[in-house]
Amino acid sequence: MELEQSSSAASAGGFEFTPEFLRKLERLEWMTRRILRGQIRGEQRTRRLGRSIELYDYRAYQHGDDLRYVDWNLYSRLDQLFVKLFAAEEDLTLHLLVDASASMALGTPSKLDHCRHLAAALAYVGLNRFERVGITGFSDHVTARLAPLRGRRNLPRALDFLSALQASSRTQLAPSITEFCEGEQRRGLVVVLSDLLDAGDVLAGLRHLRQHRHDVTVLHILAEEDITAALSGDLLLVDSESGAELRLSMDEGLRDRALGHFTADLETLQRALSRAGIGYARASTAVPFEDVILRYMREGQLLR
Amino acid sequence: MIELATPLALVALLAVPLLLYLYSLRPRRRRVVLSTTRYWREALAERQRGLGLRQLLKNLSLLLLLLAMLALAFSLSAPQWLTRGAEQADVVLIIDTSASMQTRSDGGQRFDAARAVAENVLQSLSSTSRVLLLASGATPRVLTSFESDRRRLRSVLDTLQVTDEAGAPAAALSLAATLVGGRPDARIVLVTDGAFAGELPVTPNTSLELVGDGSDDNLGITHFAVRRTSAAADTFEALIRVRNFSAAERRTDVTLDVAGSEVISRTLELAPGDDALLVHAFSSIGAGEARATLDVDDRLSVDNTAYAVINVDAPLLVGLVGSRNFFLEAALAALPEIGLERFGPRELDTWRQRAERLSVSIVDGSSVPQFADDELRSGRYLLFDTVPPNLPLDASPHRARQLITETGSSALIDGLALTGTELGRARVLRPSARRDPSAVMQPLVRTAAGPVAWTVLTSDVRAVVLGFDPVRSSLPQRAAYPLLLERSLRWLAGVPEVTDIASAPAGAEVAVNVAISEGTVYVHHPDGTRAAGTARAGRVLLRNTEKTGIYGIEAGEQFHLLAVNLTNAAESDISRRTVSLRSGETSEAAQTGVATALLWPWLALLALVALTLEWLLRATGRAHA
Repeated sequence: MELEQSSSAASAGGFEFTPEFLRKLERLEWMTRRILRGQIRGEQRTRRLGRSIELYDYRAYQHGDDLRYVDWNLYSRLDQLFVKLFAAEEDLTLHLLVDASASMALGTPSKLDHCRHLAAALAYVGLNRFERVGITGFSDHVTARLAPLRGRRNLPRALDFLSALQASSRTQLAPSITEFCEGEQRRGLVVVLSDLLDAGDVLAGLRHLRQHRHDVTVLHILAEEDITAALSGDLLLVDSESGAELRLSMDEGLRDRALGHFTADLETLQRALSRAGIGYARASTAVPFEDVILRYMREGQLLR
Repeated sequence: MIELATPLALVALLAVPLLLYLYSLRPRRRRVVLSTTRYWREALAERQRGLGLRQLLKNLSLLLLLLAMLALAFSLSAPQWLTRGAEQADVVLIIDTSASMQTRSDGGQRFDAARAVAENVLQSLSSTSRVLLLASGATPRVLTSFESDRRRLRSVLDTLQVTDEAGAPAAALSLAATLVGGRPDARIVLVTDGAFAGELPVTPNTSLELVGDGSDDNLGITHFAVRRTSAAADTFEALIRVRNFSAAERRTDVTLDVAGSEVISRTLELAPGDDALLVHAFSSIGAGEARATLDVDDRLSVDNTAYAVINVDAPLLVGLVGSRNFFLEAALAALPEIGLERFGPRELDTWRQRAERLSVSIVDGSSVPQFADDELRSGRYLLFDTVPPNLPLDASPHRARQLITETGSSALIDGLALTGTELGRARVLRPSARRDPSAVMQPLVRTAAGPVAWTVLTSDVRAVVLGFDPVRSSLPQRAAYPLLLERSLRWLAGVPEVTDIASAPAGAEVAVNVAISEGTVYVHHPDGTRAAGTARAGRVLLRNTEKTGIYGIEAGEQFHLLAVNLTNAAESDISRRTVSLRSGETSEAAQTGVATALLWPWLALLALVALTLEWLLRATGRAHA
C-alpha cells in the first residue's frame, strides 16, 4: 500500500518513475561528509556524537562522565574504565538548487528536464527518510523557492514545484547562491544541479555555500550537444543565454580546438572544486537519470 | 591624375546593388542555438591570432566579386593615366621671341614670364629627357640640339633675347613637328602670349603655355611709307597709319622727322580699335632716314617708332646706241628716273667720247657694226646681239627659231616669266677658254642649244649680254620685258634694288644689291655695332635684322641704307586672345601637354584575376562569405 502511494506520487507532475526504480530509491540514504547539526532528532546518522543506539567509539573514562555509558564488560576484562560513544542521529536538510537558466532548455532530453528528474529522485530519497528537502530554482537570481519539507506526503508538492520551473535568462551562480544563503539559515546538504555555463566566477558562488557550512555537491549536467558538437558547414551559432551570434565555417580543426577548450575548462573546474571540498559529479543527458542516481551518485558517495 | 574618356560608362556601377542582391540569394548559413558559444569564440580567436588576415578574408568572395565589377565598370569608362611631371620624352620647347613679348606688365616683360614657364617645363621633365630649344620670331631659330644637359639649356635660356620681329609661331610649330619626326613619345611645348596672325598648324602632341596678364593698353604704327611723288622729283609723300589697340580712347602726338628735321607733328585722338591714316607731302630735304614717332606711354613701345630711308639718286643716264627701236624706247620711257641719249649708227665716235659720263650704254648689235678688239672700253653695257671680243664669251653663229627653255638663278631674272619666249634667231654664248679667271659670269636664260644671255663682270666691264635681238623675239610682248630692262639697268648702274625707299620687316632676310661684285662689306646695326659680310655677285644677304631701326651697308665707297620696321597690327594687338590648337585635330595629350597611358587593359585583367580567384574559392569550398 505504501509503495502504491509513493508510486502515484512520483507520477505526478509528469514524472514517470517505475516501481522498480522507486524501490531502489527507498533503499538509498544520503551521505554527508560533514557534521551537520539538525534541529530535531532524525534518521540521519551523523558523525557528531549523540544519543543513539549505534556505537560509534570508545574513550577512556573521565571524571564527570555518565556512569551509564561505562562499558562494564571491558572493565571486567581490562580493568580499565571506558565510556561508550554513540553517533548522534539527527534530521538532515537537503537543499536542491536547480539551474533554470535558458541554456538548460537545450539538449535531448533537455538539461532542465533531466535535472527535474534527478532532483525529484533525490527529493524522494530524502523525504522517504524523513529528511527535510528544500528546492530552489535559479538562473541569474533565485526564481522560485520551495521551503524545506519533511515526510513523503510532501512529495507531490516537490514534484509540482519542479514541474513549474521554466528555463529563462542567464546563469549567474554567485548572486543566486548569495540570495539563497540569505534566505536559508539551516545548514545542510546542498546539491547544485546545473550546466555551470556561467560567464562569471562559478567557484565564487560555490565557495559561498561552503562558507555557510553547507556540505556542497555539484551535479554537472551536460547535454550531448555541449560535448560532441556534431556541427559542420557554414553556421550561424546563437548563444542561448546572451543571444550573441557567431558566424563560422565549421571544420575539423575548429571543432578540435573548441572541444579542447571545453575539456580543459571541465578539468580545471573539477580540480578547483576538489580543492574547495566540494563534491562533483558529471552527468550527460544521454545517460538515463536512473543510472545517474543508482550508479554515478553512489559512486560519488552522495548516496549509499 | 586619372581622366575618364567615357565617363558615361560608370553607369555600369549601378549593377553593384544587383550583385549584392544576387549575393544575398546564396544559400544561408544554418542557424544553430547552443548552450554557449564561448568555446567556439575562443577557438576562433585562437585560430585568428595565427592568421591575421583571416577576418579580412571572411568575406573574400564578395570582395572579389565587387572588385571585378568595379574594375570592369572603370575599364569601360576608358580611364587614362595622365602624367605631367618627370616624363621621359623628347621635348621641343618653343619660346615666342616676337615683339609683343616686350609688353610690359607689373612683373616685368612677358618674355620674362615666358622664360620662367620654360624653366618650369625643364623642371618637370626627368633628367634624362632631351629638350630642343627653338626661338619663334619672324622665322624659327634652332637654339640647341636635343640636349639633356639642363645647365646648358638654362644657360641658353638666360641669354635668349626678345626681338622686334612679328611672330610666326606656325612656322616654328611646323619646324618642331619635323624635328620630332612624328615620334609618339615626343612632344612640343609652345610658350607664347598669343599675339600673332593666323592659325596654328596641326601638330601632334602639342601644348600651349600662354603668358601675359591680358593688358591691352597699346597704340602702334601699323604702316609707314615714304615715296617720291610723280609730280616732282624732290617732293615726297609720307603715309602713317596708327591704331589704338586699347579698350579705352587714347590721345597721342605723331611726329615725322626726316634727316633730323621735324616735318610733321599732329595730335591724334583714337577711339578703341580705331585707325588713323596720316598722309603728308613734303619737299625734298635730301637723302637720309625718316622716322615716325608716337609720343605715348603704353605697354609696348617697339611699335611707337617706324623708320624709312630716302635715297635721292641722280637719274640714270642711258645711252642708246643704234637705230631707232620703238619697243626699247617705249619701255625705257616708262621707267622712272631714266635719262636717255640716242646715238645713231653713224655717231659711234660721239658715243665713245661720252661713254664714261653715261650710267649705262645700250648697244643694239643689229644696227651697229661688230666691235673690234679694243673698241669696248671700261664701262657698263647692255648688249643686244653683239659680243665684243674683249668680253670672255664665245658666240656661235645665229641659230633660227630658238625657244627659251630655262632660266638661271640670277637675281636679275628672279620671278620673271621668260620661259617659252620665242627668239627669231639667237647666238649661243659660252664662256671663253681664254677668259680672265677673275671674271664673274652668270647665265640668264637658255635655249635647247645652250645659254643665250649672260651677266659679265670683269675688272673694268660690267655687262648684260643678250645673244639675240629682242625686236626679233616675243620678249617685248611679255610683261617681264620692262622689268628685265629696269633690273638690268639698275644692276649695271650699281643702284640698289630697293630703289628710293628701302624697307624690310624685322627678322626678314634681305638681299641688297651693292656696287661691288665681290668682297667684304660692313653692316652697321641700329645699336651702333658693325659686322662684316661678304658680297657675292653684287649682292649682300642681310640676315640679322631682328631689331627695328636703320641698317647701313658699307660697300666700298657706297653706303646703302635699309629701314627695318615692325609695323604689324597682329603683333601690336597685345590684348588677351583665345589661342588654341585646332580642336579635334590634336590628341588629348597634346591639348593638356601630358603623357597618357591607357588603364583599361589593366583593369580588365584585374577583373579577370578577381573572377578567377573567386571561382577557385568556390571550387575549393573555402569561401568564407
